[in-house]
Amino acid sequence: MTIRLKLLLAASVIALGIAQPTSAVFAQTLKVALGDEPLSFDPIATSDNGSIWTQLLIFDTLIRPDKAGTGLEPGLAASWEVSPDGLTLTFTLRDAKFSDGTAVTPEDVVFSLKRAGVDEKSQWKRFFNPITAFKSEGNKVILTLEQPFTPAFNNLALFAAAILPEKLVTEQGDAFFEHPVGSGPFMLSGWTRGSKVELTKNPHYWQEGKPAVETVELDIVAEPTARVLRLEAGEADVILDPPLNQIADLSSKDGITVGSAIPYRSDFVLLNNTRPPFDNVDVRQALNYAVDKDQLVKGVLFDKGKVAATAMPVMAYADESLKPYPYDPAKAKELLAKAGLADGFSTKLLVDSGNAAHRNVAVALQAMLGQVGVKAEIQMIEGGTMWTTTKAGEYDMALSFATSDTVDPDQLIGFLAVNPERANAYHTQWQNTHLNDLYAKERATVNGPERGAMFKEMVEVFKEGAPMVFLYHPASNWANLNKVKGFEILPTSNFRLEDVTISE
Amino acid sequence: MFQGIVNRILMVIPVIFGVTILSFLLLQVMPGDPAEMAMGTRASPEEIEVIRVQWGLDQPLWQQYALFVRDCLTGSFGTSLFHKLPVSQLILERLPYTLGLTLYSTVIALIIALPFAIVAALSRGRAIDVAIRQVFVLMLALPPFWLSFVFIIFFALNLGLFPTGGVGNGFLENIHRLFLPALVVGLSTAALIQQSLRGTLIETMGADFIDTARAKGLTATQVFRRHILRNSLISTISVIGVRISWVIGGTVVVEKIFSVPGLGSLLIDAILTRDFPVIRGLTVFFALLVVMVNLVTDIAYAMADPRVRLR
Amino acid sequence: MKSFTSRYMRSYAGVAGLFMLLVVAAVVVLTPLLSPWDPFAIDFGATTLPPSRLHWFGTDNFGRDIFSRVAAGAVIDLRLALVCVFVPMTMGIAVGLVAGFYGGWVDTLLMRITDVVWAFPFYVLVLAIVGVLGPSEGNLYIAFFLVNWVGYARIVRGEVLLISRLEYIEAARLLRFGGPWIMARHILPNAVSPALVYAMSDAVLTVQAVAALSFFGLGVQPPAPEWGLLIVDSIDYMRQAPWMTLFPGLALAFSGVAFALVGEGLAQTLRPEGR
Repeated sequence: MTIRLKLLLAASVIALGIAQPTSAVFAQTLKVALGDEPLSFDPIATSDNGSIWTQLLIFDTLIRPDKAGTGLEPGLAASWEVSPDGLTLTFTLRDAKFSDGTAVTPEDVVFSLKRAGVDEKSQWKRFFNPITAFKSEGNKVILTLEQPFTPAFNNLALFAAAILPEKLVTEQGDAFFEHPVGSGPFMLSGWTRGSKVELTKNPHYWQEGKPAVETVELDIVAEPTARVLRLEAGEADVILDPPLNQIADLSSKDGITVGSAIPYRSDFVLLNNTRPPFDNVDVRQALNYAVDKDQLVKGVLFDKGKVAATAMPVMAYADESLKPYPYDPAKAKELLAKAGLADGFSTKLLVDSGNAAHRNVAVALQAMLGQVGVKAEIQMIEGGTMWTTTKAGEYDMALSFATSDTVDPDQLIGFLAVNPERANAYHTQWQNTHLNDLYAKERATVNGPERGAMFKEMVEVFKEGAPMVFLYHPASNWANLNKVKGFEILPTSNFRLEDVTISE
Repeated sequence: MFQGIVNRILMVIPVIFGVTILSFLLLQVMPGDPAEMAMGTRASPEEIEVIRVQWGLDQPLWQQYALFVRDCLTGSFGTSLFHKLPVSQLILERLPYTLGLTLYSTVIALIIALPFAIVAALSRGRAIDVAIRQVFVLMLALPPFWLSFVFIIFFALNLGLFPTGGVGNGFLENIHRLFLPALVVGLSTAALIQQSLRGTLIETMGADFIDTARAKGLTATQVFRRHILRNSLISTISVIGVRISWVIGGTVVVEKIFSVPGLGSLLIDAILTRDFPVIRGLTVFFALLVVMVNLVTDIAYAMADPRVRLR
Repeated sequence: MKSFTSRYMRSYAGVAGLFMLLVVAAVVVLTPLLSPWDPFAIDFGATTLPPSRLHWFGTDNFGRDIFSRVAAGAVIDLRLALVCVFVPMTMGIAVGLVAGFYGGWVDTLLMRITDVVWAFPFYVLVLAIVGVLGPSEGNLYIAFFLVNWVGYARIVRGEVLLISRLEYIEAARLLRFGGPWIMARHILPNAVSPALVYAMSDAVLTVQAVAALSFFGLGVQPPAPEWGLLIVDSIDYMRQAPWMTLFPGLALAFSGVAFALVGEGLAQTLRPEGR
């Protein structure tokens, strides 16, 4: 027996001994615990939050969303100019260096943007391919379009348009992204896949004196409650997305501060407009009146969110005075009666079983719809099959959400409300030709009040048509130890760390 | 004997072959498309089709299978759609953690189960035996995700004895860091070991060769240590062998809660994102592992107990 | 049959386990009749109330009465445990018996199939099935049926190999008794006992596996009050409202012990004389 035990011990010694990730401990390390694991650092071939957020700490873009999320501010480009016809975009680069000390040249920019817009490996082509010519001239980069396409400019702020060093990428190929080099505030110094990413301050960063912290450790902690425990044990300085019900408790604890921001996200119930009774606008509006959104935000989100007027997040060109459908069960019943459904009807509500918040929302929705005679049977499906199922139109109602990758509303309105387009009004098959026309016009109109008015009109039409039950905009929440100052989640859902300080 | 072992090893080949076919077919009928899930809200159907072509999802079935078999034979097991790396590299990076956790928890389980199994066997049928066994069943019945959080709150947060999760550098740090997850897995393994060990101990104590040993004049302690315990442990190891895929599976939940980057969480994440090459590669790898463990326990069993012949 | 009942009743463990299962059954039957609370009724005005005379086990984050939910969940969990153990056990014993007794190519074929299924990671199989058919209780049964018989087959085959070399079996064979007769009369009773021991823990492990699947959103679906799901859904409330996880956990442990005791009673009853 003792021999066997010794053998087992020896075997575990060997097994655990191999597990030696490289890391070094410095003073001034900021530890951030988050649930999303970065999978790859190649900007044109990723689409998951963990990868995107980490890439934005390592790489720079020409322009970037400002902290308020309403406009764009200079990134690697110190200034820019858009020709009056919107066909020529000229960027003047600032003096910046990659973390290996080499200068960021206009050629690097041209190389990177071509890679994002033309390279066959790019999953993000559609965001850049209206740009047809790339030119470098002195410290300027000139991009030309054949037809006016206003979103193209905004899309340059997208992570997929990150500027990479041409020489290293061509020399190393895919291996480059194992040890990426960028001009962002931090550089990658260690990566234990599935466990943590270690970042070190970029000594050549173009913003003088930043970042303030020497090193950053992004720890992957999948379970929300485990993240809270980590913060309380002092093993994490910042945690993202604590469980909603624990936030109030956390904020009352000594030495811990909580914060929240409303990102460009919206949650709603898709209605299959091809299936009766959802083909009737009265029924769709009735459902919007029947849901007590305030109660939902209070009871399920613990006040971490706000009621939504439509499925469009409040972003650039949004009409902030647009009112949500009020909670009015009497009006809902009236509309149902008008549609010949005075006794209500039975239906099914599709829910992603892996989404804890949506499971709770579904239970509450079921109760609320029951009040007006709509008997909704909850049907859980595994998240991976959700898209396929709604795309095939095999649903009545489906609890879903959408987020925007850019500050410009073009991406989302096209996806949510335009039909035919990418997803035919997010698989609801709802269609409004006036809105379709406005969408085509908006894309060819330069930024300004005229384009803004088009967006406002589209959102109003969208609200009237009610292809979905509009619910809420959930907040992104975080908690940090009091010694950490300046951490915040941006409306684009990511976080910047160059301004974060740790006091001792 | 030797011939038997060779035959047994040759039998592994059709099993692995069967696993590749089964896993391949299962993924074919599994709904959900990785390209749609990744880019659905962002790209048009035509663009998604381009990604599908890039990822080889458009090829005919037999061709995909042939490529998969080739990847298995060359040892890369395919390339992950999202990690953009050979699956074998992902597996090798994470294997030490899962293996370490499994072995660590088995050691803990043996340390807990052994004395109690002996006491229970020696006092068979009496109150103490019944009590011990019910306590172990209780340990088996407590859900590991609940137990994990109770341990973190009590031992890590309140007492500060252990970190709340994660992995560290080097052997000693990991022994400390992985103690709580190993304990959670170890408790349920201990319940299984205790159960089977007690049973076989009782059976062996009644066997003929024990009487012979006693007749030869060995003391009771000698008989117990040399014959009874030894023989019982061998069959217990085969029980662990039988349960090996369960033991490995048991670490999945614990890996997630304690943030251990092991194979279990790799598999679950791959399934949820439909990273087909990773699912396939891991399936074949797990199968190889289970088959090997079974092979070794079978051979060990046959060597220890001549009544069992390998066929 | 009479001797079976009276022998079972002589086993204290068996009687105790049976009694505990009867308690669970009584709660299941009586709660809907006696409790004023609907296990699915939501009341946002009465969320996370601690246990009281009104709500014996407290209420959850939707203000639902936890006692009624645990009682309603018992039906699901007991059904899962019983069906997912009994059906695969029968399948596995049959396969093991045939493979071990006849040997040769029958054995080789059956055991290789067993190996393939055994070598297949449980989660991949369950997810594929759940993915194709959608997560539901019925589809969980299919997944468990396909996987769980293997352990029994292996154990029973091993036992059969040992037993069939005993003199009296050889003698029966020499006397040209038919295979089925020998299997039923002599081998089955001897080989089945370790399978029953294994089944004891299997029942507990099955409920555990269902709970683990719930953890990944793939088990029995809410709002069904399956115990594992009740615990998973309340993990975030573990410190604010510990009763939300505690009582379903106790229910799980209580019936786990009950199953183990019944299994033990069965093993004692079926154990052949002199072994």
